[in-house]
Amino acid sequence: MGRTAATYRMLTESEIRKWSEFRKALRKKDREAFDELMKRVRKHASASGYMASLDVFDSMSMAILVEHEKEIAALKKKIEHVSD
Amino acid sequence: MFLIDCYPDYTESCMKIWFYHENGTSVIKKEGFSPQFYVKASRKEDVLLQYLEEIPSVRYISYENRFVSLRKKAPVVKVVLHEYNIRETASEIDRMGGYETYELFNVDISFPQRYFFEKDLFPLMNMEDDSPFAVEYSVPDLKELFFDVTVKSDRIPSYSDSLVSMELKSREDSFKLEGEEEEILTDFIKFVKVFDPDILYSYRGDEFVFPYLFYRSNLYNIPLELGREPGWFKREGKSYFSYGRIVYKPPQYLLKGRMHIDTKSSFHYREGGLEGLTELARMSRIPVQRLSRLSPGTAISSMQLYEAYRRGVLIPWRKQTPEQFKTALQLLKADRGGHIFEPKVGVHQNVGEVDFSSLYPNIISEFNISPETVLCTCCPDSQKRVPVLNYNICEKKRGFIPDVVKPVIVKKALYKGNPDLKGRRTLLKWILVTCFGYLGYRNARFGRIECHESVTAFAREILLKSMHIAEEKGFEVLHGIIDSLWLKKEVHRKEFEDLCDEISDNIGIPLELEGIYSWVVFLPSNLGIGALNQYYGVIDGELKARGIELRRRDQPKIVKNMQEDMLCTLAEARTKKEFFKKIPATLEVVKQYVYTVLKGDVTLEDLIISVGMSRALEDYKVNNLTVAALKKLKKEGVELYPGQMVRYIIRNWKTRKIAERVSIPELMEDTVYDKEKYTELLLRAAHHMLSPFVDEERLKEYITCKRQMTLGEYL
Repeated sequence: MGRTAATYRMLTESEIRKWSEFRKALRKKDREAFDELMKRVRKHASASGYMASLDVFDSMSMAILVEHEKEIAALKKKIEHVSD
Repeated sequence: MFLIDCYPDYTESCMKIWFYHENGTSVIKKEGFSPQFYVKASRKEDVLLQYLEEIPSVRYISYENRFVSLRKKAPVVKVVLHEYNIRETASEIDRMGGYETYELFNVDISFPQRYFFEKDLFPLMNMEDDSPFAVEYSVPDLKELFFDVTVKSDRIPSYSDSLVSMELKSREDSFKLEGEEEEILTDFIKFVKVFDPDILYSYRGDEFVFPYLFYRSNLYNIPLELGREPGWFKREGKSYFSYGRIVYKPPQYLLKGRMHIDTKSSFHYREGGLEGLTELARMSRIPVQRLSRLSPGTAISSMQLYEAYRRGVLIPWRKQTPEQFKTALQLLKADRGGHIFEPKVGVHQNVGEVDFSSLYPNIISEFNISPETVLCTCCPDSQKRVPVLNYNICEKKRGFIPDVVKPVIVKKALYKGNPDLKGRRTLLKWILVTCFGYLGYRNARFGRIECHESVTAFAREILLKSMHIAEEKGFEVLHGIIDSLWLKKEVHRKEFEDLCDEISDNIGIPLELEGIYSWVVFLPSNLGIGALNQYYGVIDGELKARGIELRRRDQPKIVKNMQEDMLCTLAEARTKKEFFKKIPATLEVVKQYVYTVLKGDVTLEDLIISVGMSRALEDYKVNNLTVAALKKLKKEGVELYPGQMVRYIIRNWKTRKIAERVSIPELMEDTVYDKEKYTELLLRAAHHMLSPFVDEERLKEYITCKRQMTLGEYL
């Protein structure tokens, strides 16, 4: 067995915890949005782990961007439908 | 003629070897055998030589030039002894050199292993002609005897309880020894002598039966001799700490010339039976009796030691290769396990599971991963590189670990598909599972962390590459763990198989289709995304579940039974659509279980919770249920050691009286149990399985509701 250093998933969780004060000061609606974003971050923990960048926040932001891009694409498709 | 046992005689300083003749008799052979070890002196060689001259147990010394590591030769002093006291002599030399001046080699190798390595023999070898690598070989028809004891006690048996009877069972016959205790004991000893079994099987022999029998026979001054030669090899039990978990190792009672196998505590026997043990003893060159008490890791390390012996490499007493310095980024990049894709939560159909069989060992063998080949100094510009980490791998030499692993991979593949050889295959599988771990284990003599990192780096690359190929072919990747992928596409089995072939060809390691799921459910974690390795489904008509309570050791039987029944109900579904239709019937199952618990209509056996003790009783800081159980046991005079299992039934979860909280099943106090708590356990487990489909609160309401809700109302 190898070493027992923290996994990237654990690093991500501790980064999220770092933002807990920020989260605390948000209003309920914003807090929900914040939690939703973090869900997206966790969804891509494996990609972040594979890259293993020293700056955890970078990979977190990228994960959110990827998810947003997907959502934009989905919404675009819906709009096309409506305008038809 | 087969070699069946081998052990040292410390008083006569010789080896004793037992042979089995085809006619069923066994004979002992005494053989003079001088153990030896090596010392490399970085300075003060004169002090060493003077010391060696003075001690009487040294037969002679000589100077040799030997491999002191996998690559480097150096002059060493070879010390050959008269007496079998290697460890004492070596420790004294080590101490003299202040634990740094003298480097010692070939010290802590057991006598049977030394003997086997040197003479190129192995346990259960056919002396006419045989090889440990043989796939087809004859095995001696060993005479077996099972025995067990019945103790006069309606509680937890202890040494002070007398012996009521002994049950003996051979392959043909079974009978009971009864009567006066003294008589039973002498009859048993006599019987073993006359029947003369090669193997004596016990249940809990190491942990309880033998220490108990020793105690009892001592009362009547009966010498408990059960071996073919008088005397035992005994070892005390102990608790130790390993990778964040405490483990208890029971004492050991080994016979001479006859094998005692404890069917309860032997991992290898449980997994592979005598057949598997035989295979492993032959490959690892550790006598069966000893091997039955060891872990697969010790077996693989013995294979490595033999390979080192064969290559003329000396085996360091203590490992000396420190880790190379790394930057934080290098460490972050290197120190990682296998890759895992987050699963897509929910129920899916048209899903195939594909696995690389023995991925890690195959990587070691295929890519030549070994302590002396990774980051070797002879080919810094090697074309062979570890992905991402960019370590160079030797192009000139085949590594030593790949040579150990390869025959195991080949043998396991050859045994595949033959149900008669399942025991052999299972133990080889365990060897392959552990061999990777031993690359990075800091106590492993030939471990090296960079090898460990290289293997996982290759594995991550392979999994990603496989994903890309699958996606090119239109498969959706639902989930992936280290060496397996769950792929979705509405096609026939054949197309999954073709994909496997294509990936196998591309990567060079066989990828196999484990099966096609009629449906599979991936469960979410409490963080709201897919949980890693928690799923269940029906694969090729069979249920498969991972990570749910059903698979956990610490859950009471009733919870497991409920989940199993829930699964069986769900398993009637052939498609995703049918799966949803089965949910109401599944909830009915949960209702039934909750109802029986509330009614008090359960077998107490089904409520037992067994938890591994993580520390000694006095070291527990909180008064949890385990502590309550331990305190109760202590009152009964039963003391458990860290690593052992504690069994209890929850009696009253909330009470402040600690003795009231749990009851110990062996004490058979009464039939009280905490209905509320067990209902909670059931509901939690039920919800865990259905969490992608049903809200926890609603589930609770629906199940425990007095009023009959209709399903429509409920959903």
